[in-house]
Amino acid sequence: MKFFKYEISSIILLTGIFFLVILTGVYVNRKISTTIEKVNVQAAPDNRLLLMKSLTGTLTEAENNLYSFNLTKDKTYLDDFYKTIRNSEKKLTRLKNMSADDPVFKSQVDTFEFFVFEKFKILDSLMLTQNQYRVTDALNVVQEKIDEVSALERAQNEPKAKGLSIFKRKKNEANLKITYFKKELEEIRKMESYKEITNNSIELGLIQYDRFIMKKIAQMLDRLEKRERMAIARKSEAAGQAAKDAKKITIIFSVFCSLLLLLIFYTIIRYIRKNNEYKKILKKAKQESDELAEAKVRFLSNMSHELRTPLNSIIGFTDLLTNPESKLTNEQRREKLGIIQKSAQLLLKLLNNILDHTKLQANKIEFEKEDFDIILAVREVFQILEESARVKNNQLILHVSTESLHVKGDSFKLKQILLNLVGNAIKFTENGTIEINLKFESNEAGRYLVHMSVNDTGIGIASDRLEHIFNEFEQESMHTSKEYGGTGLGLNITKTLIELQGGSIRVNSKKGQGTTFFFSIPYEHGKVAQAPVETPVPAAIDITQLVKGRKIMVVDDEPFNRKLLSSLLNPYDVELYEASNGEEAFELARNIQFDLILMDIRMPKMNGIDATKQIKALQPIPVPIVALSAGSLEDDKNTAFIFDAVLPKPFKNDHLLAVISKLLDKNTSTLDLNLVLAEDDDDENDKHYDLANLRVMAQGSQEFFDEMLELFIRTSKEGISQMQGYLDEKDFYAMSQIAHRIAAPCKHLEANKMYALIKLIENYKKNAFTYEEMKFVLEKLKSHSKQLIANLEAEKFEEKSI
Amino acid sequence: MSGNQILRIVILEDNLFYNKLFSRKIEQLVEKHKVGKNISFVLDSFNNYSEFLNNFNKETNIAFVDFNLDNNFSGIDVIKDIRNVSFDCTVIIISDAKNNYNLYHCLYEGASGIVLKNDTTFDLCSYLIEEQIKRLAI
Repeated sequence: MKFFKYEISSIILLTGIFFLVILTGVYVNRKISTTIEKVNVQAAPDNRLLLMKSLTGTLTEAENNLYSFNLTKDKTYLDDFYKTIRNSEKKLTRLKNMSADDPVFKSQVDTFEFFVFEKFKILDSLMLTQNQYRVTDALNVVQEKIDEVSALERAQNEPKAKGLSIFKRKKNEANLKITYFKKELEEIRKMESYKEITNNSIELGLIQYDRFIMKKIAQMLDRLEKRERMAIARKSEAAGQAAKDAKKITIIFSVFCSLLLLLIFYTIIRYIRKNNEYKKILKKAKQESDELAEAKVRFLSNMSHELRTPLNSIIGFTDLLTNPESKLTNEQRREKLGIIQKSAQLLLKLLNNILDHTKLQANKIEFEKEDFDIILAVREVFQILEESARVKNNQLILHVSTESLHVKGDSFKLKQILLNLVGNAIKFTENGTIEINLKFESNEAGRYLVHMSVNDTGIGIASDRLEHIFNEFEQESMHTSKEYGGTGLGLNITKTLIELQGGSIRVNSKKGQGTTFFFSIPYEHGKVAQAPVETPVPAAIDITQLVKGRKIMVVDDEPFNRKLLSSLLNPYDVELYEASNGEEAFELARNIQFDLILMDIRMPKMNGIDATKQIKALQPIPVPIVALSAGSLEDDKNTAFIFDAVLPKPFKNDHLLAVISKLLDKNTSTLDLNLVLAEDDDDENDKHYDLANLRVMAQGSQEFFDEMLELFIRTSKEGISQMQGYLDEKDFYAMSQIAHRIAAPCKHLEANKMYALIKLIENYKKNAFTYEEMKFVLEKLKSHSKQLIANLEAEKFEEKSI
Repeated sequence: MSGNQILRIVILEDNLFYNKLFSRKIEQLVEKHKVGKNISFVLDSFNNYSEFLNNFNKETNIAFVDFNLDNNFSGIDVIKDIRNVSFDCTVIIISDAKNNYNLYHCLYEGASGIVLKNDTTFDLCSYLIEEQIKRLAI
């Protein structure tokens, strides 16, 4: 699920990154295109200025054509001159069109147009003043005068035509003509000189005007060029800025893309790593699962054999004993019954092993913390197994480094560990020696570290099997299980029990030479155990007197179990009732006041838990009800709260009787309250609480602080008052529930003594409190809490005063 | 990037004192962890199981539930009810007793984790809240 989520989130992230890159790319592309466009526009020359310059060139061309014509009289130049005028007009029109949107430039164009036309006027005028036909005209005038004179002479000479007189006359006439021509020529010269002077003056004026016009045009072009240069400078600057912006955007984009790439890279690497991790985990889990499945298959086949063997003997010998035709002597019958008993015990041992293993698997095992003498516990185990060792001709030896060692821990679990290890040693050893060694040291944490070893000279374990020997369902070999039996769970249970107590275990072994198990367990220093541990001691009570005439109901759907319990209790002369389910039990309980009920949990119609709840609600002083638990998980969960005691199936007679005695005899339980209430006398000056935590939590909020104190005081008072009510009704269960509810705040205020007292009430069942003991503890609690609350209220008042 | 996310936390604790204390601490932890993140915060606290059930929001991110409740109810009942309506809610069982069996059963029924009432309670809660906020902020 987690992996799937990670995959989805990775895909979403990558898709997001992909779209981000695309969006950023589009944005950057647009930005750069806009910048380039700007640069292009800004880099383009001003066409209007170019056109004006071209026009200026045209004017120069026209001027050249005109001068060329004047010099050569070649009409081609004249044609070119007029062509330039037409070109200029066209260019001016274009220039006007180009400046239509720019009023400032349009005014410049109008002025320029005026200068252009003025220039052409000047050129035209110059052409007229520099008329090259003036000499011809003058000669024509001379020719006309000569013609006039010739005509006049022909008219006078027509009647005369004879001698000297004629010669004389002709000489006079010639003189007259010369004088006349001279006179006329002088007149023409004078006229032409006058015209020359006039033309020169006009030409000079025109040339000056032309210079003025050209100067104005040049100035205008200069101004426009200057303006253009400035505009270009501004545009260059803007283009530069645009280029810088584009560069910046490109860098940002590159960095952004690089970061995204890094992120993608990181995501992919992370994904691959996670993937590999999951693969490894899955592979390991599969391997473990395969191994476990294989081991369980082995276990089942082994177990079926293990269970079948004692069952066969039980069934076989039971058949034999119940067969009326079998003619067995009493001695033979006793012998067969002994075999049946041993087979049943073996079956029980096997089942206990499986149950222990199940509890360990479910982390259900809890460790007691009791003071006990570890040497004594080891000696007990020694005594139990001494006989078994002797039967196999083994010598059982115990080496201890001290006579007694008082520790705090779970003595039963230690015995279980030792029984398992020493039992194994005996099982696999014949005609040999089994040694139990115990040493201890005090470690830095102020604890005893107890080292123990169990050494045998038995068959030993092959070196390649050593590492598997502590695995569940494992035995040294198939041969081992066939020859010696067992579940293959013992060592696994032993190892788990040691490790759960903070210890460790290891093994040394050589095939054929023997095995040594070493283990160490840390224990807290214990007190010298109070005289025998105070659990119900059936031997000390006259059980016959105690149960005689008592009304006891056995509730179980299994007739065999009912029969068994009846047969166990009948000898004690009890008034026994039977019910096969919860409904029947409830009906009976409504009509009969029972002294005790033994209740199975899993039953048809109404289960033991519901029946117990309903039966307990019937009477003000609820009848004690003992759960008969098969040890399953579901049963244990509920029995912890509802029942007065739990008797695990299969149970032994003395255990059953001990529980019954405890519940029926109100005086059997003794409580050493001095141990719990060691600091019995409250010193008024001792506050028994610490508000530092609450102050930290309040972070300066006086309102919160006050509110929490008030709440603590109120809920504590209410809780204690309710407990008092329930005590009067002898409803310890309800008291326990309230105690549980109000305990946590005490812990938070470090009101440790109040907490301990409340916990005593909460764990009344475990402490096996009687009414008087509950009353005593509650009185202590009331007295202590009164003082504590008074101190709290005083403190609150002081804070407010400050 | 997600928009404004809502972090919903619910507390079910029958002890009024501890309920108030726990709520206060959770508020402080959320405020500490959500700094700089666009996350709103809704905290509901109940000291009564039926009230809790009637008001349980399916969108709840984290539920801190006391194991032992009134009227013979336990955290196991609460987990079952929550899991009927929400699979995504992180359900944390708060317990003051290290009863391995009960706690194992809680996990079996669908609890996301167990926090014991001791010195490390709020450190663990802090870590859980921080993780939840990180998840919301992605």
